[in-house]
This record gives sequence, C-alpha cells and structure tokens, in this order.
Amino acid sequence: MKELLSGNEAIACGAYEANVKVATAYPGTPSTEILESIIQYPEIKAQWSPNEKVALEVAIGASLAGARALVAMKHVGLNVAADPWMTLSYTGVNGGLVLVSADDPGMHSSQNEQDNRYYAKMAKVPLLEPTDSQEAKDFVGVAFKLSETFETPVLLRTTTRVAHSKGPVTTGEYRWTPLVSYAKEPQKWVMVPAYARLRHLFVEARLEDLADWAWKSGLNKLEFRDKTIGVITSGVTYQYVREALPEASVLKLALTYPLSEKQIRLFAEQVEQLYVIEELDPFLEEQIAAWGIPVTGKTIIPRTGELSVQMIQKAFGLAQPTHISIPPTLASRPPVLCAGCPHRASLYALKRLGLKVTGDIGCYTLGALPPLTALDSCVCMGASIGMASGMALADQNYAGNTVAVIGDSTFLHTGIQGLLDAVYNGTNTTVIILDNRTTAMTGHQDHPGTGVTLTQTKTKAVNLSKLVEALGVEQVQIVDPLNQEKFKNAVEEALAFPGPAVVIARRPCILKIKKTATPYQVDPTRCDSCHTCIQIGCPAVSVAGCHVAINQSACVGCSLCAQICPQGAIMKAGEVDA
Amino acid sequence: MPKVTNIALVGVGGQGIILAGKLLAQAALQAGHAVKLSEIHGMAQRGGSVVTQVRFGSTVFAPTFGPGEADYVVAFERLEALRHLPALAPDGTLLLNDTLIQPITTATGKAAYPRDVLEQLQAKAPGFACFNAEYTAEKLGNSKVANVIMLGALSIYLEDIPDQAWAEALTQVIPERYLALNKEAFAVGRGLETKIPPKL
Ligand SMILES: Cc1ncc(C[n+]2csc(CCOP(=O)(O)OP(=O)(O)O)c2C)c(N)n1
Repeated sequence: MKELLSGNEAIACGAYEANVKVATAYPGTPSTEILESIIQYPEIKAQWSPNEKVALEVAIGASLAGARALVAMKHVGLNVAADPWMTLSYTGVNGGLVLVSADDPGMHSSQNEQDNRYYAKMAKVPLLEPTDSQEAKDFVGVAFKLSETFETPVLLRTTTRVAHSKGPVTTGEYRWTPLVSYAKEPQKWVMVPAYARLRHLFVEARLEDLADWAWKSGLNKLEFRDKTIGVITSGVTYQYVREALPEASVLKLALTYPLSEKQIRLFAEQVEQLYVIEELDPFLEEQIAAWGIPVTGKTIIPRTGELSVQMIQKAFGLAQPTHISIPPTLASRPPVLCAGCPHRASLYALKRLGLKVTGDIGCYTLGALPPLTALDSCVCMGASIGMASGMALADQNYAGNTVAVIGDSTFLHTGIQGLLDAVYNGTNTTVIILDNRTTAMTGHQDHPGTGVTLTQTKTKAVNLSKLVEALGVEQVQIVDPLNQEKFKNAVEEALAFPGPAVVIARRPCILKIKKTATPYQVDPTRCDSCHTCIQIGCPAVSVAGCHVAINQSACVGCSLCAQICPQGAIMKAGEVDA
Repeated sequence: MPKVTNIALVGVGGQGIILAGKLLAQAALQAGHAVKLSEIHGMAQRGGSVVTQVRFGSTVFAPTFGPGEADYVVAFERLEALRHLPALAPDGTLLLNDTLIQPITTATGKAAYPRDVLEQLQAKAPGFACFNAEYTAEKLGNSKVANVIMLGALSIYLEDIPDQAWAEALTQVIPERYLALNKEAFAVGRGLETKIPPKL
C-alpha cells in the first residue's frame, strides 16, 4: 500500500531508509516538516540548531566522523550557511552529507525568491531536483550514494510545491550501514591555502566526473514523443509540462548540475524546437545556450513567481479555460496577528510612542501591515539590530527614537552578533526582544531559549537577560507588554539610557497557552466611536455600525483594547451594565 | 488526457482546511486513484485566505490546477467562496459552509464586506449547495468538526470514492479519541440538506 506523503515527509522517510544517523536544521517554511517528521525514527539523532550555519557545521562533523548526515533549511537559510557550504565542497565528505534547500518561488512565506540552484553551481557540487514526493524520498538515497561515491556534499533542492504537495509514496527498507571509518587526513579536512589549492583541483576534476555520471547514471530521463517540440525541465515544472504539453518530448533532468553536454546535445538534435521550461532564473537555459545550442526559454516563460500548467499553455499560445470573474475590489484577507498575541501589545505601544522600528522576521512582521503599520523595515533574520545601529550612526537623532524589534528565536539565530556590535562600538542602540517563548511563525518550534529540544526532551534554557548582560549591555529590563504603561515606560527608559539597552518583552505566544481569560465587551453607552481599539488590528474587534463589537468567541481576554480605550468603554463580559 | 477530478478547499486559516484536504486525498488514494494535494503553510495560516487543492484520477501530474478547472469548490466562508469562484469550471459545483468571518480589512472599516455575497454567488454559480455546517457541528457538541461535515456533504457528489474508502481515510487520519465524533460528523454531513441561502 502506498502512503500519502508530502515532499518533506518523504525526505524524512528517505533519510531513514538511507540510514542517516544525524539530521539537523533550523526551521523555515517550506522545509520545517522534514525534521519534525524525522523524529518518528529514533535511529536518527535529530536536532534544531540555533541557525543554519551551525546546523550545517554539526552535519559536517557527523560526516567527518563517518556518519550519513542530512541538514535541511529554507532557501535563505543557505545564505546563513553559505560559509561552511562553500568550503565543504573542497573538503568533501567522509560519511555522506546531503543539504536540503527548500526554495519558495512565489514567496508564499518568504522575504525573497532567490534561486538556490546557483549554490550548487557556485560550490561545484551535484544538484538533485525531485519532481514529486516519491522522487523526494528516492533521491535522498541517490544523493547519499552520490555523496559517498564522489566524495562531495549534495544539494537536494525542493520548492514549495514539492515540499508541501502530497502524493503516493512506495516506501522501502531501512538498511543499516556502519560508520565510514575515520582517518586523520589534514590535507583533506584542514583547509589552509596549501591544502585547499590541491582540493580545488580535486573539485574541478570531480565536476567533470559528475557530468559524465549524469549521462551514464540514467537518472535523467529522455521521454520521446512528438519531436516537434522538445522540452528540458526539472522539479515540479516537469509535472506542469507533462500536463500542458502532453505530446512534447521531454528531457527530465534529475541532476540539474552539472549537466552533461553530450546528453543535452543528443536531445537537442532529435527535436525540431528546443525549449527550457524552468521556474525563476534561466539556470539551465544559460548553460545550454553557452554551448551554442539554440534554445528558447525566458523569452516566453516568466522569471518571477511560480509557474503553472496554464502559464505554460499560454506561453505556447494554447487555449486557456474560461473562468468566472469576480469584482476586482474584493476585500482582501491578509494574515493577522492572533487575538491575544503579545506582539500586538508591544508594537502598538511603539507606534503610540511614535518610534521608528527596524523590524525582523517572525510573526511580528505581520505588524507591518495595516492597521498597525508598526515596522519601518524587514530584511533578513537578525537584521533589525544592525540596522538600528546603522541609523544611529547615520544621524545621532535616530538613536533616541529608533528601536529594533526581534523575536526570541531570531535573536538566538543571528541577533546576538548585532547586539555585540552595538556594545563593542558603543552604539546607542535600543533593542526589544519579543520573547514569546517559541518560534511561532513556522509552527511553534522549540529553540535554545525554551528549555525543550526537537524531540521534546528537557534541556537547559538560555537565560536571555543574563546572555544580554554578558555581552556587555548595562540596562536590561524584563516586562510584560500587555501592561502597556509599564512597557512604554521601560521603552522610554531604554531609549534614554546612554549606550545599548535591551527590553525583553516577555509573554508566551497565545497559541501556546491553552487557557484563555474572560472575553471583553464594549459598553455602547460609553463608546464614542473613536475607533482607537480598531487601530490595534485585533481579529476579535470590528467596526459594527457606528460602534465597535468584540466577537465573544474570538476574544481571549488579553485586555489590550480595554487598556487603550480612551473612554473606558471596554470591560470584561459581565461587567457591562445590561 | 484522462479525466482528473479537481477540488479546491478554500477558507480562512484555522478552519481545518488542511485536515479536510488530508482526509479527501487519503480517501481518494484508498479508492485506488492517483492523487496529489497541494497546500500552503506558514504566513497564510494566521487567519489569512487559504487554499488546498486536491486532484485525483487515473494519472495526475501537476499538484495544482488553475482558474476554470475546479470540478468542486468547497468554501468554508462566504467571502472566500466569492474570492475563489474563478477556480470553478463552467460545469463545476460550489459547496458553501455558510459562515461569515470578517477579514481585518473589513473589521477595521478599510474595506467593505460585500453585503450581497450570496446573491453574487447565486448569479455566478447558480444552484450552489449551501450548508450550515457550523450550526450542525455545534449540535454535535464541537464546532471544530464543521470541516468534516462539509466533507460528508461533498462525498455525495464524488461517486468514484466509495463509502468504504472514506471510512478507512477517517480511521487513518483522525486520532483515535476524536474518531467517533468525526465519523458522526461525516455521516451527518452526508445526510445534510442543502438549505436555501438566506438573504443578508
Ligand atoms: C535564515 C532564515 N531562516 C529561517 C527563516 C524562517 N523564519 C522566519 S521567522 C522565523 C523565526 C520566528 O521566531 P521568532 O523570532 O521567535 O518570532 P515569532 O514568530 O515567535 O514571533 C523563522 C524560523 C528565515 N526567514 N530566514
């Protein structure tokens, strides 16, 4: 019987079957469920690391020790892990090492849609791209064999539509393999210039061998049908092509780097018109065109966003199904901070104080949207602190009216260094750590501050205030943002403090607290319809006629609206006079 | 190309659409079909507009389908039904769980929640099937099972997924302690009469 698995679950299953011994990751959509699913196999030592760089380094260590290691991350995670990644290519592996990069074309949950195939090319390592869940599982096994045979890390790249699509998977057998034996080999593992120069020669030779293997392995599939149109494609796009152009001949690439020129030429020569259909950048197209093979690609296929069957049909001038049209002005439904979310209280207070806010990535980034519009920037994880410092350097005045906001998971990911920078350089930076005791955005993963590991084992929790003090921050306050007055005072004190100061806004994520308090209600006799409470953007509070209504089943009784109501018109249900 | 059945489950993050999609896909698999399901996690789950697409048939390539291709759109909320109406094929069927959830844009008065959603649905997808799954779920003692009630209602239309496949899917997907409740919800959904949509 086949099992219905997402690409991520399939990768976890593939890791088990391939006898992976160590699996590491930092969460990130659309990669998160790989590790969450891997913990069902106790044979695999699996862990969240504080960030992707550490996750990869732990995996490299496991490989050095002779174990098969898998490390997973979202596309931008590889930017963080790029440093070890590039030199890992030189050292190669001992036990096999596979890095799963889950890209997000269309940016369903990301700040950019970079094309991580270039990370394989830049590091000169093999790149595998599954087209569905079955291949996602099978390619893990292929990747480990490839890794050990060619002494190379392997990049297994998925995209959202592979990672988060489910399809039937035939599972295989667990095959135990012993650790590869360890031998001290400085020329391979100690990358000083003299040794690295030799390794670079090895890398170039390996690449040629891999291109040759690409051709012989049979992994890339030639599917000849009508030869008028020939399409080279890979990943989920293959599925779109099969449906949009069912008669076309297809070269389905599993190994998208390095390419075998021989194989591409063979296919190109047998079809009348050659196309490359690929999502995002012309990664394959440029290589093929560079060999002087006439090919059409990005002149008809978009470079941005996801592709679809209909987009390919359109590019080829094929008929599109007609569809019902709807009013273009339909009210949108963007994601919102939950009712009772502590971030709302923090961000609303900062807005009331009229501050500039360099933001970071997490649920609180949603506070950039109306009506809160509380953030001035969001670039990448950890950026908020350095950016606040940069603003203060650019103009003294910013130091007094700018704060950085950063989640607890993000602070521990790459925020610490930004704060260290402020301390070291004596920059007058104010940092607010939104400490909701979890990694909420990606689905409530634990992190080094929660005291619990991926496998739900108790562990030491980092003490944020002690950590911050140890970095040299001299003013550290811990406050509950739901006490608006106290919180605002704390922020003002921090801003007034000469030197870096930190406010830890501590209150657990509302979704982690099972109990909720008595909901609030609006006393219509006192409400003067000023709509101040509407400005907090709470999904439980809405404009109703000329007054305001609080949805009793949605309200969790956090009290923020009651605290900020200028009329004192919001009170606990039951306290309103009937 | 052999016929593939395309179903879009649409609604608001938190309405149990991911679970409904999983059950539907599992039932289709259980019935011996090739099946693919595509869903979006992350940002969109915080009360945003969400879509899960399920496709089944003898061969399924793409995990997604485009506008005008859904044989069924199962909408868990009025405005989302209207928003995702372009997915519906000309001969497709809309099933609506008739609830109204204000998006933040209308709750804050920045945009208007259209007053005539049901009329618009009636005009664009005449004879759509309208249910009060939330009300029924509450009568069963748990408003959360509205999603499974809607699946029960959908199951009547899907002749190539037999009862047995649904039963097996429920057993496989739903945790033991909620199984009885969900089985009941599914059965009630199957017997649910479509109601005449009320005027707003
Ligand atoms: C380099 C990188 N890794 C992972 C992610 C995915 N991601 C976005 S925010 C976030 C963490 C959010 O946790 P936290 O900072 O505690 O904020 P919360 O969501 O809990 O409010 C993660 C893992 C990313 N955007 N970039």
